[in-house]
Amino acid sequence: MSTILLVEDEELNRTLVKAVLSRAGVEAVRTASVVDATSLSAARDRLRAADIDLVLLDMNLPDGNGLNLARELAAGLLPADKRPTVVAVTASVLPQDRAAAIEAGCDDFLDKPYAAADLVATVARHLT
Amino acid sequence: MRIDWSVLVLLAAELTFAVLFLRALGGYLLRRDSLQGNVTLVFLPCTVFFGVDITRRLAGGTLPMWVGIATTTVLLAQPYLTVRLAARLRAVPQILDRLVLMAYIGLAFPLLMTARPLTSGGLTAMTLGFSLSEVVAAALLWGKARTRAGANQARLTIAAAATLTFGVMIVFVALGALHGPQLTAVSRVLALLSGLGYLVAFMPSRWLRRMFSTSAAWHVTERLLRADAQSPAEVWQTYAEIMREQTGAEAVAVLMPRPDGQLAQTAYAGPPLPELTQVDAADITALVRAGRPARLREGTPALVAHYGDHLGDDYVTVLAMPVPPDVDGAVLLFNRHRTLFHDDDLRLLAALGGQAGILAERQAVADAQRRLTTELSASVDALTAANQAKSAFLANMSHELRTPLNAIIGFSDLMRVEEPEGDRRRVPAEWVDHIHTSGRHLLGLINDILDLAKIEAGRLDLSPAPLRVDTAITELLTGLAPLFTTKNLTVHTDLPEVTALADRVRFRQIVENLLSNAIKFTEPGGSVTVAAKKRGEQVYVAVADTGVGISESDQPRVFEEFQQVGDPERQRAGTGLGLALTKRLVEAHDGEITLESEIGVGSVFTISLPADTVLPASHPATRAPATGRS
Repeated sequence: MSTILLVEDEELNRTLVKAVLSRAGVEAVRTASVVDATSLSAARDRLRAADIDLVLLDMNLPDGNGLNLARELAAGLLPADKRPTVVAVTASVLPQDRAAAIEAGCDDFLDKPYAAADLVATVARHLT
Repeated sequence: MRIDWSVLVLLAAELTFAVLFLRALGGYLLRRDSLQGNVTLVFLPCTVFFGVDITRRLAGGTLPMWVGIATTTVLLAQPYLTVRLAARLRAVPQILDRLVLMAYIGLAFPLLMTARPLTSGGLTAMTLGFSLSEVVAAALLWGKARTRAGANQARLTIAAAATLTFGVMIVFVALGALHGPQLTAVSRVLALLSGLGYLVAFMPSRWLRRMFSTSAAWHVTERLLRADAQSPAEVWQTYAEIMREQTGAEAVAVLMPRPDGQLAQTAYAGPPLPELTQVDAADITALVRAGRPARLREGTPALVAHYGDHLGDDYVTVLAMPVPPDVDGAVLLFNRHRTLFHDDDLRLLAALGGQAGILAERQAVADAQRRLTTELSASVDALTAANQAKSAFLANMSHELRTPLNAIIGFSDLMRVEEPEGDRRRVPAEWVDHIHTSGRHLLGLINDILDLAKIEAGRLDLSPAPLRVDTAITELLTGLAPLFTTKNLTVHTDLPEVTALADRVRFRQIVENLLSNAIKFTEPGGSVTVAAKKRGEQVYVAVADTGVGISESDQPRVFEEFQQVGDPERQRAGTGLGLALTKRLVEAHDGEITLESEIGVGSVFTISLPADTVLPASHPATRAPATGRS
C-alpha cells in the first residue's frame, strides 16, 4: 500500500482530493493512504516521519513556495531510495511556471482546475 | 665715432619719448579722460628732460643752472607719477604711495636748495632714491600685469619692464657722470630701450596689436571649445568666466535679450550676487553706444540697483555682443579700477561671444535631443512596465479564477460519478456548499475585475448625489450583522448625521469592502469601530479593527492588485482585489483613502469624500430632485 502526502493549505482542496482518491476506480489509488500537511514545515516533518511514495504539492503555501520543497528533495532531503515522486498541483499554468516546476525537480504536474479523472490518472501513473 | 653713435641713440630715445608724450597728450585733450592724463604725466618728465638736453645741444652745450635744476626736479617726479598711474589701475597700499612721494620730496628739496655742482654723494643718493622709486612703480605695474591676460598682460609687462629700464638708465647716467663716457653710452642705449618699451606698451603698431589679439582670441576660442559644457547656460557661464580671466574684471555679466526685448542675465562670473532679474534694455543700449568705461554710479541707476551696491565696483564697461544670426546681447565688465589698453581685446572678446552663442545654440539642440532621448526611453520604460504589469495581472487573474473553479469542477465531477438513485444522486451536502461558496467567490472576483477594468478604461459611471452616510452605514451593518455575530465581534459606531456627495452603490461597495476586511482579519472577540465625521469640505469615514494589523513595510502594497500581505494563511479568503478597487472607487469620488496600522494592534482605514455642501442634510424639504435618494 502506498502513501501519498498531500501538501495543500486550502481545506476545500484537501477535502476534494481525498474525496476523489477514495472514490477512484484504480485500486492502487483508492487504497493508498493519504496524509496531509498545510505548510512546508509540516510537509518536511511528514516526509521524515514516514515513507512517502508520492507528494501532491501545492505552490502557494503559508511558509513559502511549494517548489522550495521540490528543490530540497532533489538536493537530497531524504536518502535516494526514499525519495518520493513529486507532482506539482497548481493554478499557475503559464509556460514559465511549468519550466520553474521542472527545474525545481518536480516529476510531473497537474493543472488546477482538474477533473477528478485527471487527478486519479496522474496519481495512478506514479503509483503503479 | 663712438660718441656720435651714442648721441644718435640718445636722440632716438628722446624722439621716442616726445612721440609718446605728444600722443598721450593728444589723447587726453581729445577725450579728457583722466586716466589718459595720468599717462601723459608719466611721459612728461622724460620728455622735458630730453627736450632740455636737445635744447642744450642746439644752444652749444650750456644752459642756465636753474634750467638744469628745474629739469632734474621734474624728472625726479617720474617714478611717483608712475605710481600714481598704477594706483588708477589697481589697489596701491597708501604707505607705498606716501613712501615714494617722500622720497621725491626728500630728493627734490635739497636739489633746489643746495648749490651746483652736486657732490658725488648727493648724486648717488638722488640716483638711488630715483631708482628705488622706479623699482616700486615697475613692481606695481608688473603686479597688475599678472592679474591680466592676453594683450593686456603683454603690454603691462612691457610697460613695467620699460619703467625698470628707465630706473636702471638713470643709474648709468649717474655712473657715467662719475666714471666716464662708456657708461653714459650704456645709459643712452637703455634710454632708447625704455622708450621703445613704452612705445610697444602704449602705442603698439597695428600688427603687434593684431598679434596680441590673435593670441587672446585663439586662447578664448580654444577654451570655449574645450570646456565641457553640457547646456547653453554652461556655455555662457564658461564664456563669462573666460572673459573675467582675460580682462581681469572683478565681475562679468552676460546679458541676452528676452522675447520682450528686455535684457536678462544669462551668465555671471564674479563675487556672489543676488539674482539679477532684468536690466532695462534702454540703459544698456545707451551704455553700449557710449562704448567706453563709465562710472557705475553715474547715470546708470538700473545697473547700480542690480550690481553696483553689491559689487562696490566703480567702473562698468558695456560691450555689444552680436550673436549670429541677429541677436544683440551685451557683456558687462565691472572693475574697481580703471583699465589701460582695454580697447584692444575687449571688442574682440565680445565678438567671440558670438561664438559662444553658436556653441550655446548647438548645446541647446544637443540638450533637446538628450531630453527627447531620455523622455523616449522613459516612456518606453513606462510602457514596458505597464505591459509587464498587465501580463502579471493576467497571470494572477488566471490563477485566481482557477482556484475557485478547481473546487467547482472537482466537486461537481465527484457528484457525477456518485451512484444515481433514479434521476437523483445522493451526494454529501458539504460538496454542494463548497461549490456554491466557490461560485460566489468566483462571481465576486469577476465583478471586481470588471470594476477595475472599467475604472482603468475611464468608463466608471458615477452618479454622485447627496448621501446620508450615517444611514447608509447603518444599513450595511445590519446586513453584515450575521457575520459579526458568527465571529463574535463587537461593533462600535460613532455616526452623527453626515451627508456626502457620493454614488450610493459605490459608497456601499467601498464601506462593505472595508467592513469585510475588518471582519476577516479580526480574531473572534475583537471589535470593529465605524465612525463618520465632517471636517470642512470633506466627510471622513473610518473603519477600525482590533485585528492582526499590517506591517509598515507592507502598508504601501495593500492597495495594489493581487497584493495580499501578511500571513498567507489568511489570504485565501480574499480576491486580492478588494482594496485596490476600494482605493480607485474612493479616488473616482475625488476622495482619498489612508491606512494606519500596527501589527497585533489593528488597522484603521479612513476614506475622505466630498461633503454635500449645497444644503444641510437636515432640510430635506428644500432639496428638490435628490430628496428621495438619501
